[in-house]
Amino acid sequence: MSHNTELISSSAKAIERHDALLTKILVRLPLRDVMAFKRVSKRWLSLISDPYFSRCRTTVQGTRFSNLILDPDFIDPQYRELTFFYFSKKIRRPDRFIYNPTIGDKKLLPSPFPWFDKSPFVEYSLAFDPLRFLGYKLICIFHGKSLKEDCHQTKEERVKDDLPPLPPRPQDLNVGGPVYLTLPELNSKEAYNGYGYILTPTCERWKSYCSTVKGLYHCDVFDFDIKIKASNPRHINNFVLPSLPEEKT
Amino acid sequence: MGSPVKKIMLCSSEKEIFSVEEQVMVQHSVIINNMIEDGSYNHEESKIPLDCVDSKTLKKVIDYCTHHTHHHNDNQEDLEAWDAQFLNVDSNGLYDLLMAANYLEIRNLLDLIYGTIKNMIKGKKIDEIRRIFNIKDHGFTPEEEEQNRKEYPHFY
Repeated sequence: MSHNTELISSSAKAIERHDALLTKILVRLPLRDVMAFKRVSKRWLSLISDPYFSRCRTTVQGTRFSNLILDPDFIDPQYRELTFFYFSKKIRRPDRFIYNPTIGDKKLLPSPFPWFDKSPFVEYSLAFDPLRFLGYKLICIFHGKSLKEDCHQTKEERVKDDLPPLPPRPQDLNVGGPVYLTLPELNSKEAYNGYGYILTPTCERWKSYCSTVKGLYHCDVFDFDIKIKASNPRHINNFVLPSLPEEKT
Repeated sequence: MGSPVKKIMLCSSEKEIFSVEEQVMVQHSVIINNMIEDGSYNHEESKIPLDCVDSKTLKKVIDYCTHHTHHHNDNQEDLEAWDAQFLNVDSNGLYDLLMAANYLEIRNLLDLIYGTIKNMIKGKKIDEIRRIFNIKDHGFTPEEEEQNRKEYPHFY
């Protein structure tokens, strides 16, 4: 191993300065390292945050679904990334913005599930999955334990009687594959190893759900597309939000 | 067949000429394959100038391509052992190889080198990574850095 240490001292710096080569190396790392190495330097942060990175990583590692790398726990305005946060002007119904600190622009997001707005058990986050959609998705995470009670206060035809069962193994599914979840509630090691599955749509609104293994944390993930016209979060200057489908009454 | 093996000439940055079986380079290097296919290489008089690859590195690259052409039927273990031995190079060697493989677009070799470097940094702490890559200016403000260290001590 002696040559490795030596190698590193002299040529590593040159490799580090080469964006394309560095990216090719970083995409081969496990998710835990990717998350950690975002904090190595601003340059690494910017390379790793680029959607190109996720696409590249997906290709190299051959995973069907890319990791949900964006997570409220890891995204913060101070990191100068495209970010997502609540603006809790009204406690009962916080407004949600997507915000680009570089240009100081923000956009109010319409509520994807207005009938859940009063629920304290719903969280939103941005997620990026290049194989399904080349942009960010707003995902809505429902805390499992509270779901039942919460659902009964809402429209009955939209909710199931109970928690969705833990999904079957990926090979039984029509679509899907492992999806990594980085849920702040889990400790970091488990969070990086936790995964769930994307299932076929069960009905119009219930596009998909996934659940972590081990039953530690039940959640439903709803998604809808936020079309952001940029390939790079650092240069976003235009937000395009799709009009939401009319809610059935 | 009786026909002689077709050779091509590669010229290193020191202007040293290497004569290699055409098939070996065509099979591995996307760039050379393209040059042969589109006819921009003339077997009578051309040599391919590789100004950013020195003789020592070029020789290694040719070794790699030759071995992998003639031994591609070997069992995986033997090939991996050979690769490991092949990459046992001095400090600048790996970087030079990486740049040469990148320039010539030799994908197998690139993957091999990327994987090797990945293994060197996998599971490392941020402070180690900074030392390894000699990153002095990480670009975070002292407050951001402090906040990160406080929130994610296990990463450092």
